[in-house]
Amino acid sequence: MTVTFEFNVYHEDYHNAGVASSEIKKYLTQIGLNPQLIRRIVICSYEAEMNVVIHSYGGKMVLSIDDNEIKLEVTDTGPGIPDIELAMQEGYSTAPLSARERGFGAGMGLPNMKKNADTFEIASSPQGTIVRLAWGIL
Amino acid sequence: MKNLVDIHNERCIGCTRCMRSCPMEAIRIVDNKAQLFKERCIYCGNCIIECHKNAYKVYSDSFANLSKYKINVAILPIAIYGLLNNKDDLGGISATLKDYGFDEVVELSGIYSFMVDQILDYIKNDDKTYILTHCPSVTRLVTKKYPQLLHHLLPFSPPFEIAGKVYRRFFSEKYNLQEDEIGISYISECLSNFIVIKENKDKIAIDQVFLLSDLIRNISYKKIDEVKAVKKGVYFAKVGAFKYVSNNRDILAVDGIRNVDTVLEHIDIRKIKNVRLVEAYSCTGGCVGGTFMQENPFVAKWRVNEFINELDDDVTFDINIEPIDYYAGEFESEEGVLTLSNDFREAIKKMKRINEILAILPNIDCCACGSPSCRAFAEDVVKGLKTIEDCRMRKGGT
Repeated sequence: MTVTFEFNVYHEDYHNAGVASSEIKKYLTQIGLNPQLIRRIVICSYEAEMNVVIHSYGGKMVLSIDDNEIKLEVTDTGPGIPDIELAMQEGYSTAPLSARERGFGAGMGLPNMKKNADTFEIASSPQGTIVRLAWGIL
Repeated sequence: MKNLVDIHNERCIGCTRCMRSCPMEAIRIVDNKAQLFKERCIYCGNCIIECHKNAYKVYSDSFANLSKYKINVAILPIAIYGLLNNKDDLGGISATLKDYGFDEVVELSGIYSFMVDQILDYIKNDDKTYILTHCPSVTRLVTKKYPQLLHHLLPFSPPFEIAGKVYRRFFSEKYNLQEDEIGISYISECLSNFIVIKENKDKIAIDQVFLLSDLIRNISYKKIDEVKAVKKGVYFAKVGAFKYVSNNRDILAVDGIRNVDTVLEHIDIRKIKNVRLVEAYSCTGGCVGGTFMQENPFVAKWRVNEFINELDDDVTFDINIEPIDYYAGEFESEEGVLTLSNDFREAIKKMKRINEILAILPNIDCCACGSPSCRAFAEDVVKGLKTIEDCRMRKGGT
């Protein structure tokens, strides 16, 4: 059995940035996942959510939970990441001043996701970026 | 045994105010009456403050119990400084309490000032973000909702409990009595301290607990006792005291239980780093916002500031405090109170059903059904607490 949740994320909506991750945390807690695993998932979802807010034209996050696995798919509608390898480097950031002023854009988003997810996939084109994260449930 | 918090059915009109104010979604309206689900409750007291029908009832101990002890000591809460108009008022309160049958009246500023140094010393050991445990509601929020943050809690008892141990020893020596011949009473400014004492009478150093709101009504200021306050400790009546007295920049002060919840979430996902101590209080403004203060927290804060200006700098606290008085050890996790089922597969099944129900609800969170949101209502339907017909706003029907 699979249960899915979908969240819309909007460009530069700093007021609601983090709300989706908060909800994700609530649902994972209700399902009774191990708190340490929840923390890893929420760290990733938060970074992903912020990336969509800061860098993209907007997008959505889809969380799906089944008996063996938690999956989080984050898609946006562009403008894409020109050089993924560069973006994966710790500390590399293209965040605009508006994001940095709010304490975001330290260049740790993608590296943190990679570190905290069991599997991490990313693909990008000018039409949009897709990040697929997954965690196994022991 | 009586519930620790009861609801007067003849007073409750099922208005949903308390339910909507509850940060833990621990209240439902069933048959037009509020119902409290104790296992979720963190005793923040929001419901009592929000209730305009005075329907919430807590049971303070009986003054008759004082006769069991040879010497009775009343401990005043730190928030008392939010109720004083001038320096002499503290003496007036002390004298009035003696009329109630107390032999000694003490206050908490000395304990608070002592703990500042212990805590600053303790947090030096590593670079973790510690959470202050002065407020039992904050501690409960961590144990119930953030069990993975348990090791962030300082291992110290709340100040009233430290005071209980310290003054019990002090007065048993002073009067040359056994420790159990000394009765220690706490005059509680808030629900969370009150309940912690009520729930743990056998484990805690406080024998009786009374409500500040019950006592403060009858204060006479004719007789004046000598009670001295330690300036550094009086600041702790309000939020931000730790930051102020320690002049430490990496302390984050937060008040109001929902704000505390958000800050804990930020700590959990490591959005907050570089903060060494989170000084968190459930009530607005810190302890001055306590459930049983009956004063606006901002007015109370102003009074605290006025009071501090009147205080002498040279008052110190000379009573001996041992580590055993303030070390609480580790706090116990209450993991699982928020889960839908102990069985993971069953929980997923329920979650799926909740989503299906939510899809046919109006999603306006009107609360008319007696649940705090449409999502909570869908959960209640799945749990069997409500039926889909309880939704008054649903169109069409299924």
